[in-house]
Amino acid sequence: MFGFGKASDRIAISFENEGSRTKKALSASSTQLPVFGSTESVRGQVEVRVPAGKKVEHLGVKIELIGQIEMYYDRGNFHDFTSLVRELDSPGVLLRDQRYAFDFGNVEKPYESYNGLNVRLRYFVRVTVTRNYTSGNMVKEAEFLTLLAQPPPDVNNSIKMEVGIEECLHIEFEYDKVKYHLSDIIIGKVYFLLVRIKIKHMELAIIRREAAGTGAQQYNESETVTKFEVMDGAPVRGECIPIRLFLNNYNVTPTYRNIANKFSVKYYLNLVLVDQEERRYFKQQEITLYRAAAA
Amino acid sequence: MAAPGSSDLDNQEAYLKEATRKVKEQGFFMKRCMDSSDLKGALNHASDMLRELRTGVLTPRNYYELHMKTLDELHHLDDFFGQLCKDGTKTASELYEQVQACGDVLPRLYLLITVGATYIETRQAPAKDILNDLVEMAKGVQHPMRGLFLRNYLSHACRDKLPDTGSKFEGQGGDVSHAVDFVLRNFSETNRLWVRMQNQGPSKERKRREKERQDLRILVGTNLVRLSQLEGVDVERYVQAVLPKLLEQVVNCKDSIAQPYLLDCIIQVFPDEFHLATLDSFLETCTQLRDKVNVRVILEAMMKRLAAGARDAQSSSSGEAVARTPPKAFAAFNSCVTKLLEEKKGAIELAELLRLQAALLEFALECYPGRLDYVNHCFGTCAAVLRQDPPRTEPLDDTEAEQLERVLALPLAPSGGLGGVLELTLFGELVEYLPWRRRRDVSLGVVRAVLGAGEPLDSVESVEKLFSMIGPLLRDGPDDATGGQQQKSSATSDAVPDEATEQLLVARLSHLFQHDDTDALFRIFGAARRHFGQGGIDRVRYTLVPLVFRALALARAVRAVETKIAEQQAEEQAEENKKPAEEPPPPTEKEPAEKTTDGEEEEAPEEEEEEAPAAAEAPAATTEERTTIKPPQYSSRKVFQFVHEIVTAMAGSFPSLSLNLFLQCAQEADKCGFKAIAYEFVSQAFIIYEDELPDSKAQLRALHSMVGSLLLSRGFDDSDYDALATKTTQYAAKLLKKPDQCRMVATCSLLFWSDDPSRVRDGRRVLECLQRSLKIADACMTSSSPPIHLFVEILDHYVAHFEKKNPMITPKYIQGLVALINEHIDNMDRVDGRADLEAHYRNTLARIKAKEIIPLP
Repeated sequence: MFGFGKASDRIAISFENEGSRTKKALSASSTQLPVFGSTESVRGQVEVRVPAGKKVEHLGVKIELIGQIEMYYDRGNFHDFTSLVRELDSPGVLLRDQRYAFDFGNVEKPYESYNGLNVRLRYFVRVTVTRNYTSGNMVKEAEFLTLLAQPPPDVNNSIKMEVGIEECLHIEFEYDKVKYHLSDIIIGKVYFLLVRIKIKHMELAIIRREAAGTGAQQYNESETVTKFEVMDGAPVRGECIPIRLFLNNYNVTPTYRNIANKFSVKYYLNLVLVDQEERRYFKQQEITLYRAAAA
Repeated sequence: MAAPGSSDLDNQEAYLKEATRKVKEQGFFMKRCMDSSDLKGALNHASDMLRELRTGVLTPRNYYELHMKTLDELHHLDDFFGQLCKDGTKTASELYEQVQACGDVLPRLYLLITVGATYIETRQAPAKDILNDLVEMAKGVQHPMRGLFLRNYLSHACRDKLPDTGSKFEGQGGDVSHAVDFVLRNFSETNRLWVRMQNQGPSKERKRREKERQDLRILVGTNLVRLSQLEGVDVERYVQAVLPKLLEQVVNCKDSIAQPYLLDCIIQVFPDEFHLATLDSFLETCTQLRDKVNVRVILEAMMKRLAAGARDAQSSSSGEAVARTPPKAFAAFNSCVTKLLEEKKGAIELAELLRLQAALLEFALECYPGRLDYVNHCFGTCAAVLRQDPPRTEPLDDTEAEQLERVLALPLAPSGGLGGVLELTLFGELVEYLPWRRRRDVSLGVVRAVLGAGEPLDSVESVEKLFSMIGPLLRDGPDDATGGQQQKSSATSDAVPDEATEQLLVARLSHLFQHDDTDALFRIFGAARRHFGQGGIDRVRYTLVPLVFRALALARAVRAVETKIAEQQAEEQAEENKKPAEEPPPPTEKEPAEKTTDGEEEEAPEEEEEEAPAAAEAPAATTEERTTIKPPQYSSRKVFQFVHEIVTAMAGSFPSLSLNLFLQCAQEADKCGFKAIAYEFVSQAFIIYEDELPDSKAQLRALHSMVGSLLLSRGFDDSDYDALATKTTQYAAKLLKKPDQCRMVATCSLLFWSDDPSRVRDGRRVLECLQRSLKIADACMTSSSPPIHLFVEILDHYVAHFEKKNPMITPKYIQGLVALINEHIDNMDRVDGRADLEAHYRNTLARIKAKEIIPLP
């Protein structure tokens, strides 16, 4: 296929200051990638290696910077929200290793990298050495991450709710904020106003809901990030149970709302009471997560 | 984590074993991670280890075991955290955050507490803040048993991390108020969990749950111990900040197991001075407890504690003021008790009320020795309780009676040191409520107390009072009256000495009757006789005898006074004869004055008439008295008459005893110079001898006494003496057994030769007696063995009379008798006692030889 070839081991891409640059992995299983700020220039070097005694004829060398949203259910259909191209070389013949510097100055990266269940959003640069049909193109991609720090919200109220089942269970809970940054601490309290069921324990779960696609093609996926037991045993009326949860122990992203009309990621705190018959009584509350600027 | 069912109970062992194994295993992995400085791994294994504590299957005891095993392992983590902080690998606050990632609340909190202790130790954050956080976060465990153990660990881990006064954590870390606050909060939460256990689970397992709660209570009590160990908790802080919180918790938990336990802990762990400072509020709380709670036990514990403190203080520091217990303590206890009575009248059993009073009484006796008013007060309360309206129909049951008996016995204990038992006005009334048998025991206690105190009983009132208290010892009770006799006979041997001991004790009371004034003493004796007299035959034989002797002593004393007055009067008479007109005696002034000073004399006017003849008989003058010696209202004759009545009353039942007493009286009367009275007494004795003394052995003994008494007498007219001596000799001659006759007649010979040359010396009758005796001995010869011993004894009499220079006793009699004896002694059978007899005879012969009465070979 024109324009696409298999990843070549003869092309190497390195970002500027890659050694000293912050690296992160989106999940525990994925590899560490360099992180670029939202408008930071993406610069680096490309090296095309030519084995000794051989030559590479090409129809031009280019590098692209692509921001792309990928739906897993719709393989091969990518939505590029950013695509920039730089010509690195005009058609010719390479007789020996050739290095090119690239520079995408102040490039706009509007979204955060994300790696979800049905969708991912990623940034990468792609080097293509275009060759004739028979030889096939040489292609190499290098991925990087973009994490967007947000300013602290101006308004950040607490969440306070009274819920219950009549004549059975009445509780009032309170989380200190509605918006938390990613290494924030969720502090809360649960007051038991009426307890007529035999509670076994109570836990606080963080739930991530990912909605990918639109309309009939929308895929919703919920995932429990963590279950955190906050109470063991049955409280009596008037009891007040403290909650303290450190978010940075968990792999959470900021809340994403309608990214490029393609997907959303939302977070909920789910307070669950389990009784001795394993019945679960719960109440979900959405919280907003955001990425605070590094101190 | 359901409550353990019965099938689970069977598996306890197995489960515990498996859990312990896992704890050991995880603990081992944890330590290995620590060795390789793998914090994350160590925490994971620690969490896994601690997860074993989430079990709900184990009984409290087994859970405790598992808990201790886990803590042993957890202890290593302590050191590890300390090391990490020390070498700067991690800050304490990082660790504090890191352990909170654990998803399960129970292991998380154990870890948090462990790190928290390290955190406080580093002093990188104020101790008070960390303590506050820990005690708050621990609320996450609401399961009672797991929560109790968790909080116990919290209390234990932080026991030396509190910002107590003098601790290194004081200052930045807070002060003692924070330490107190921490312990109090933990206590309060612990207690709530403990109380909650009661109401969880099915009601049929209630018994088992209560037992489990008892097993776990120490976990609650430990908090109070911690409080008491805080240096900074002084009296003031205790009063202001500590106790009110504790009491609030006690009252509000409304739990009938927790309330008594906690109050008891409070009593035991805090010092006396704290209790004394807060007694009112403590006692106030005691009135607000659940009805099921036995308040008596609590009050008793507090009183015992304070009483013991008072005792120690007295024994250790004699110099310090003894009255360490403030006087208001009694009042405080008392008002508490009163309040309980009012509020829970129906709810408290009578036995408990009485027991409560007993405790209060014990406290009063211990802390306020000698405060009879307190004792009387307690008695008053008991009486009020017993006099209920409408009056009870049934008598007290056994426990009630036992408690009442205890109340009554307490002031009598020797440690009470209470001489003034008689001041206990209500004693008599209370005793009435007891069954007869117990009354006797109480009475016995009274008697012992009175005897032990040894204070003289010096008025009729006190004697009356005492006797009204010990009634059951003085007479038969209603139940004794019906079945008493047969009961006594069936109870046989062990009841009788019991009775005897009792009566002997009562009898000893006679020796406490004392008064310098003979009249007063006489009246006391009169009262005593009246009471003793009601006791019936079995008692008077013990009780009246000492009284007789006391009366005789009194008679002697009265007589001494009378003699003195007589002498004085004689002098006066002499003086008056010399100068008749001088100094007219002012009797009208003197006598009323004396009457007012001496209360005993109040009855005097009525008895004046009676006194007159007696006084006239006595060689003392009456109204013209003007010296300090006052003529006794009751003359010595009167006293003898009194004694006479007593002994006469006993004569029918106890002839031997009465006979001896009569003789005793006779001797006394004789000494006082009352011939007629003495004669009367002796003749009474003789009448008893004749009428009441059928037993020959008793007769023999009586005759000895009679001879002895006659020999001692000085005052009889010769004719009287002769009559008596003759009568005695006749009695002797009529004894049943010949040897007795023989000996007695020989003895009677003594009656006719007084040592006093001015008295009877009738040598002829002496000889008659001896010869009669000899004749009787001769009559004995007919029996198988000749009564040589009788001859020897008669010989002794001859020798004695010879030595007394009785002219009728000539050596020829002695000679003859010796010859007689010599004749028989060799032929004598080898019977038992022959050696003794020979020795006796040899001694007699030696005497005869020494005095050269007759020539002997």
